[in-house]
Amino acid sequence: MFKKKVEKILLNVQKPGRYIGNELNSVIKNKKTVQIRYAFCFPDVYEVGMSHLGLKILYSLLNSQPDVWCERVFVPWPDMETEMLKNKITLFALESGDDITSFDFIGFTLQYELCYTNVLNMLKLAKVPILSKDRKNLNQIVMAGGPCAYNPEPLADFIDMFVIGEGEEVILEIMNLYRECKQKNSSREYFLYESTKIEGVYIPKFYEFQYNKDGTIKEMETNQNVPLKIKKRIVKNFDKIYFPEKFVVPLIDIVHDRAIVEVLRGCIRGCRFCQAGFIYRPTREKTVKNIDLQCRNLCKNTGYNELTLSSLSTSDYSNLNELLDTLHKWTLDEKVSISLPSLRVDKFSKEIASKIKSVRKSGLTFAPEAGTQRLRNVINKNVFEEELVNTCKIAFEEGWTLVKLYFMIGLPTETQKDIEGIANLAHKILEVFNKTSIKKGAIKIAVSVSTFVPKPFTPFQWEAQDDIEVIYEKQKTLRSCVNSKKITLNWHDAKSSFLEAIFARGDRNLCKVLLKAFEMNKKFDGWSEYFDFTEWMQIFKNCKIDPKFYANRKRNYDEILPWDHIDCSVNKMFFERENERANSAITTKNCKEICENCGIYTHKGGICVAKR
Amino acid sequence: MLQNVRLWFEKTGIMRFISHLDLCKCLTRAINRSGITIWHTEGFNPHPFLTFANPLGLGIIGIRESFDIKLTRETELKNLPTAINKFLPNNIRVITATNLVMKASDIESALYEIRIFSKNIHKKIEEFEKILSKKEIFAEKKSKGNIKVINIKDYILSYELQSFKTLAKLKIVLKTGSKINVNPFLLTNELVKFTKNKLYFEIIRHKAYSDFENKIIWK
Repeated sequence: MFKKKVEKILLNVQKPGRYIGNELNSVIKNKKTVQIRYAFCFPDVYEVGMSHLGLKILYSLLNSQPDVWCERVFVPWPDMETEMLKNKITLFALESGDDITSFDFIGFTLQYELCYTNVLNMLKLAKVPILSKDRKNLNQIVMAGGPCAYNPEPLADFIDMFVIGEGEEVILEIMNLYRECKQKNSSREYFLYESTKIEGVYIPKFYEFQYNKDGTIKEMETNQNVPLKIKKRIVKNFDKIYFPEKFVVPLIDIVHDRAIVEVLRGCIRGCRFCQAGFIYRPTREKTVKNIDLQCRNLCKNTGYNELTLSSLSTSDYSNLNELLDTLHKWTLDEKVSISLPSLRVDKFSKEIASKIKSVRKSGLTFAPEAGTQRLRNVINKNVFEEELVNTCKIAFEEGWTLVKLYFMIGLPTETQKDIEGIANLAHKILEVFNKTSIKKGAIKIAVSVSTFVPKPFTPFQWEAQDDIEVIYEKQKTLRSCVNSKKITLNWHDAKSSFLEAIFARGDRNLCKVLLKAFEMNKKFDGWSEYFDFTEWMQIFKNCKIDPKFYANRKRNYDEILPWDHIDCSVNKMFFERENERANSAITTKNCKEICENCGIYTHKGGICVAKR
Repeated sequence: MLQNVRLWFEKTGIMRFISHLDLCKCLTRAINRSGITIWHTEGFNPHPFLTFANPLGLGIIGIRESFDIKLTRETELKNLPTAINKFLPNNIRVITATNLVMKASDIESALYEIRIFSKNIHKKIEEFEKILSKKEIFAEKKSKGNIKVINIKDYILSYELQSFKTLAKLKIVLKTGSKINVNPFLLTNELVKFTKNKLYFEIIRHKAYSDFENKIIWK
């Protein structure tokens, strides 16, 4: 089954285990009995893609359909790519080893903007025409979903079909339609047109944009009978949502090699910089009983002894203590350790601390995001300094010695004082440690600072990103404020945040930039060893496109935004109101406290129903 | 009382491309899931204890490999393979379980079969023969960041070269063990260098000896 041609090159590349498949729980089907071949493409390397929960869910879900065979495809690392090209090997699916060229679906998940060049490169390696208009038959349907699909325009020329929102239901509806079309021998055109009738599906080729002289959008039009607004999909009954009983267990080390169960979806908080906090609304939880069962199944079927309770904010889960107690009934005996990512500073208690450290004790991570209370109010991160201090005190008393703190710089309204505030906060925590812990001197405070990237569907979607030079100045200021060896500062490269900001809020004109970048062999832009900023700026220049137009320009409320035809069910009016409040540093209460009428109530799911 | 057990396994086909560390993890997980309880190391970060007499290099097939575990509950040896195999991916398979007869340090050498593929292989046999019969085959060996030049001939206890239609088979016994060891890929690299040919190799380790001269197989 596995091609000899591939085997022959595997000893010439690093980590050949990335390319061999054959993992426990990977799904092998009989080619003759399946009707639909689906290549699930993750536009990054194996180790990153295999850590992604969405892939695991959709992989199992699609394969639960007897006549659909979903297989995984990742980007070959450049050493492998070179070998593949040299030996004329086409991009292949890990399960069957087959070339994916003539698969029915080639589906991408778009998790971050810097993977866009990888998407195009994968199409090339798969020998699939890069441009949507060059694909003619009823196969090679190039699909894309995930958070970046909420602003699909920069990829509009390459992708046939975007899926907006949660995939668990809509993907099966698309499969049903395709199956029907295939049996009736319908055309590609017919299938694409019919699919616009499915809620959440956006087919860019049916729409066109007119622009003003200043480059902003004049209007979006269509000459077909297709929806003018594409409404995102959500799964109403989240407790009943499909969840896999098994994961493919990788043979090589990957980023997150453990069992992951999603305990809630959405977030009640509404931090104003956070896209996930708005696009995944409304907040919906699974029951303790259901989570417990899913955790047991996964651990049993994979052999993992690490378990992550995942969500955007797991400490907001209503019955967290009850859940941890229920899990402990079996996890302690079976030596399974539980980890909670994204802990909130204000939700950390002695009780939770003692429950999660039972087996192994790694570092604690908190995200105050901003250095002063004023700026935390601006971004609606409802966290207070004394809460952070208290939380760290508890953690130090419980024996933790590594604290990671996440901040952003370049946030709207930021001043010198806010930058200094980051350093002050870190120093204050160091002080707390010296007063509380008995492990003198063992402390490590890792301060991680990223550059703010304004995103669509957030109250900051109109804001300008700071110029790179300004960011560098701010980084310099911060560095001069830190004077302890116990505190380490890490930056996220401001240049790649700039590129991210361009594509995050880009329009259809950026397709030609991407095409040019692809022709210049750009790939793995999310990896510092392959990210070449100078080359990118040259590409923009050659395409006569000003990148600052997208990243560093403050937009008016009445400007038509490139993603205005996508309806994430949170009103634009609400975002405007939130933006105004941010300017005056006024906070907004979370969904559990009061309903602020963001608009998501129309979906009648989760917390909206409970609260109204 | 802990029961010491030696598990014999094979690592074949595509699975030769996973590293020793990844193999370790894979076997550990399978044992965990099989319900067999094994001794964990003590200390700050306890982990299941598996020890390999002689790890197999990346890219090499092994058909009589072994590792040792300590059982915390007495178990019938013959039940172990099936219990573990249920949770192993294809091409990694436990064949049998035995008591520990010899020590890891008793390993002296191992029999490798190097299958050489190339166009017009029969014309190349002579060249291979010429290289192998030289007094010295120098190669660079990397160990712990240092590069040291070794004479591969010092490590060869015996060899036999056979020619077939599409491939040549080199059966070779190389010194092996925790102290003196040589990776057969060092030799194949030299074959490529000397013959200046495009060659493709498949290497299979058949078994280990504690005393090759007297044909005593390590067990």
